[in-house]
Amino acid sequence: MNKTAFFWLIAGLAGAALLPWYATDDGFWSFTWLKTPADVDHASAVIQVLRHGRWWLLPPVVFLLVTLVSIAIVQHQQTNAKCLFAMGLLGLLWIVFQGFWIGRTGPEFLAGSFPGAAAGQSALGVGALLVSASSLYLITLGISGLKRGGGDNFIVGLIGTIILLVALFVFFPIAHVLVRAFELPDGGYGATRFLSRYFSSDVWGVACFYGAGYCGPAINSLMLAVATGAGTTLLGLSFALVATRTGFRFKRSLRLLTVLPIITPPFVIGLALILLFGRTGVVTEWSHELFDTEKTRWLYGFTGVYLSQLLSFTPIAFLVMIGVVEGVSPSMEEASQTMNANRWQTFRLVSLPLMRPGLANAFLLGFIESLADFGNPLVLGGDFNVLSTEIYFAIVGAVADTSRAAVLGMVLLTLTVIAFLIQRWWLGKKSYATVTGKADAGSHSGLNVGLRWVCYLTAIPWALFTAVVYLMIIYGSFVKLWGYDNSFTFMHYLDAFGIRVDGGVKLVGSAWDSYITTLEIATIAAPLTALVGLLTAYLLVRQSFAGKAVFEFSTMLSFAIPGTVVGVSYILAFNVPPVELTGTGLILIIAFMFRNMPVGVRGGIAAMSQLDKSLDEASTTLGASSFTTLRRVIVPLLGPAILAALIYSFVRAITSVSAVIFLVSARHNMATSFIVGRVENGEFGIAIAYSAVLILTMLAAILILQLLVGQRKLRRDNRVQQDVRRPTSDKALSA
Amino acid sequence: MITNKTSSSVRLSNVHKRYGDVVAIDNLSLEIQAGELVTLLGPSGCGKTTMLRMIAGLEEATSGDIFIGNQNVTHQAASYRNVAMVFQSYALFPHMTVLENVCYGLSVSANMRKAEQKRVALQGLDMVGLAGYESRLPSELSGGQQQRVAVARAVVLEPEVLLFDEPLSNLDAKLRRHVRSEIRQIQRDLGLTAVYVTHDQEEAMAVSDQIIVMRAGVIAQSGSPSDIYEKPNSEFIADFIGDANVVTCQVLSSNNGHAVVELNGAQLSTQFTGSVSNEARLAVHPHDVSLSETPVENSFPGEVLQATYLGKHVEYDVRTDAGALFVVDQQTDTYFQRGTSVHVRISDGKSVLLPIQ
Repeated sequence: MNKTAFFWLIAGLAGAALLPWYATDDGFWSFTWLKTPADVDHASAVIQVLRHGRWWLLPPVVFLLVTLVSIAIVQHQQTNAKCLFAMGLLGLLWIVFQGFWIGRTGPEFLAGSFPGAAAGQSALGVGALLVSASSLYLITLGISGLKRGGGDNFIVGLIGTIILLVALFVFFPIAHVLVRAFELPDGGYGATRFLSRYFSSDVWGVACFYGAGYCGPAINSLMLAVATGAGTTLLGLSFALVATRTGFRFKRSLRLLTVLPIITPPFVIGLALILLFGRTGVVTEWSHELFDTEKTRWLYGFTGVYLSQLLSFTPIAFLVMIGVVEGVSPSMEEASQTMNANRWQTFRLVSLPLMRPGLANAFLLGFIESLADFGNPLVLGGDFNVLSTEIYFAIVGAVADTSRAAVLGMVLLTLTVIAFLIQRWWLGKKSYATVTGKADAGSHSGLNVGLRWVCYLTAIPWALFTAVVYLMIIYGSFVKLWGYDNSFTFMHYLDAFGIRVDGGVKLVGSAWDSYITTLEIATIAAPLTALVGLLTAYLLVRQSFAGKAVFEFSTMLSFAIPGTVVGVSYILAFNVPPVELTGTGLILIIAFMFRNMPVGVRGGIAAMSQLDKSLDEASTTLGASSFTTLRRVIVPLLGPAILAALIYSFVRAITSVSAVIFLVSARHNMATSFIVGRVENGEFGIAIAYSAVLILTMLAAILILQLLVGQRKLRRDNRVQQDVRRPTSDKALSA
Repeated sequence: MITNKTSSSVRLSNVHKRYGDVVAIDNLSLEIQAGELVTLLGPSGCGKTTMLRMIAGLEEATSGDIFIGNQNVTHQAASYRNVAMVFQSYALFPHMTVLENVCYGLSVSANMRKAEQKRVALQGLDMVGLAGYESRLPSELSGGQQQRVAVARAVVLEPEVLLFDEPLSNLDAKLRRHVRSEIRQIQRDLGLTAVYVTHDQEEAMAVSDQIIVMRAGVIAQSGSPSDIYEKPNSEFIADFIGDANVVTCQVLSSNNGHAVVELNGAQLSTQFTGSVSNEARLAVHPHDVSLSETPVENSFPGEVLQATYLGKHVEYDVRTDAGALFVVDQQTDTYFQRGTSVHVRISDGKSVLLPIQ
């Protein structure tokens, strides 16, 4: 304990004495502050106290010094541990407290408090970061020194780190939105106004049902979500039955469908639909010529959004339903058949009831996806307003109204969290119950003729439709001006990704900037996301500690937070000290990390639950520390899960649009927000060409990662293959 | 050569273990001498595995103290204790070769050069008869071979205590007998202190210096295999260890550990410890009962309810006035059919009176 504590104390004290306490204007990696280290913007905590009268930065330093003295003098381990814990906690609390109390323009509360602070202070910087980290690890070392948490420094430190990160980057922003939602126009806070805005007919209006105008966005979102949830579940079930219970010849290519939504940016389906059914769409034109139908804008509104969501989310439901349908133990169906039930009776009386929890799960998943969807409503919504787009327009519209955005964000968050809670509660109570550890021989019973044709007639046309939609993306990118000048061209690719070679290679295409930024940020975010996710999974599966249930619930809850809400909450929370991140690339990376982390967690949990716990225990009894066990036993055995987490977080960082669109800046523009910008200008060609390039990029990335990480064989025959797929499907389940 | 000069005694004093409200180990104390193989035996859920895991450091005692040698290790984590464990599932690391598995413990804890690690590991493999298998993956070995790798992996660390958690339960019956004598051989050769958990009483008898029979978190009886078999201290032990019949009898006279009892009119001399009253419970091992067609001295009548021919012996369920008796008869040439009336005789001097509970 003492050696590690000593290390962190020295690190903390060095941070306080040498590194700038506040964030410097030039960013984290700039070292211009070295030229004027005593300057008020660049000074370390110690210099701030001595030269600039910022006495409130002294306490954290004092706490560290007290601990150092205590370790040097006191021999009794328990006393030292208590001291570490207390001083670390005091230090951390004080840093948080002063950070929130003294804002950019002086004390935020009780004007005149904190003499000398009237000038205010800026956001925390690298010095503060190091002192905070030092204080945090003193706390965790103290806890493990007191023989709590198994007395394992590494584990307790890890738990502390993740709790702090989740608190700072998941709960703090949401809390911030909540506070903003209660804001009054005159600057105060009040509940009455919040309630009246929260429940206003602006949000919950139902006028459209009795033909008196538009419905509120909350009602629209709910209608859409219910319809999408039901539609995707039924289509997903039909696909799953075709894929697992029939002799359909192209089953394998059907499964290919499940990969598509993962690598498709969310609005691309909407774009393709416009090319098909828009006013100048192919189908619209044909039907105009053949049947003389009128060219209308019927696509824009509920119908279009619904259609695009069905296309986007059916594959996810398919993936979930495959697991559910295969989860029904064949021996149950065989038992039913030996009791003289025919195929239809077996399906209706045995298989279907066993699938019911799975169906409910798929429905809720579709429901949540639809509520959180931003790309499709943005492209196809027209006058049909849903919550996610309303939030966006409240921020970027002609009259920016952050407190309206906050209220709408709370409405959306309430809906998704309720759906999430129902899902958890439902799955917690009912189990599929038929997946056991025992090898289940036997084969699933086939479908009866009627049901088989119902499935064929829904699944196959829909699959073909999906294929056409994707073909449109390729085709559309080579057409000069859709609907007006259908000549073949490379123009859009040249506009976006043109390269000029004169003397050197110059990237002249308009998309290069955002493309490179996107790749950079995704490349940085992916391993970090996988790391945080898998470490969290490790804690949840392999360690027990007080408050574990709450810990698990809160990491999973961040699932339910829609991207739009994340975006709003981040710009509201991280635009002001003490933590100021807006306009940086870092905020994008962090947003991706904590939005995609739950997937890593789920994948990790699924994979780690399959690793016999006695492997860890064997390693421990052979003398390995928990860190060594993690590094040499668990990580090597988690290969596929790590790969899946990496791929998923990389791809999600590229395709995500809802959170990103709030967080991009001129210096850090992302591909998706660039494309949305082109769509808003009506430049469909370049938008589609760019989308096609993104899809190819992701396919390439998946292949490269697969080659890099590889799969370690544990058996000569590849029996693992079956097991390996589970975490992956779990992943997409939460996609 | 792997030697073991480090074997230590193990002592538990007043150890409690609770999981929430459930008491797994209840105020248990015991001592294991250095160099001894002690078996923890008992039905599932009796707390034997919990005990083993507490000695390993995988579970922490709720209260009480655990000593290995002279050191109090109660609050020491598993990775700091000088113990090694052979797991029921073997827990071989599937991504490492046999050699890497055996080297693992040496590489993470012992301060040893790579070449030296390899030398020791190869010696260990040689000892369990797996020389030449070092570059295989665990999945390419049979169950018995995996088992031996697990033993080698534990032994090369020269632990103060070697722990076995039902090491043979995944092997078939024939292999089990073979491997258990190998384990015993290695343990004796190296003079290891070993704690061995099993629920199989025959296995316990075969390998142990001492057997500790556990029941519901407490020690029911401990002693050498023959002590426990011949002098059970309760009905539970008599039934669990010897499959013994327990019947009620009248005590005619008692003197200095020997008593004469009457059972269904037959008189028997028996042994006892402690005191006896007029009525007592008598433990009779199945093979101490013989059946005959005609009455013999000190026999009583019965009826064969079930007869099972097992090749080496025949098992009978016999109904008598003293209750149902389970009988094992080595005589297999001719055997009694179901429903036959027989005469039952219990061998004189072999049965034991159970102490009054």
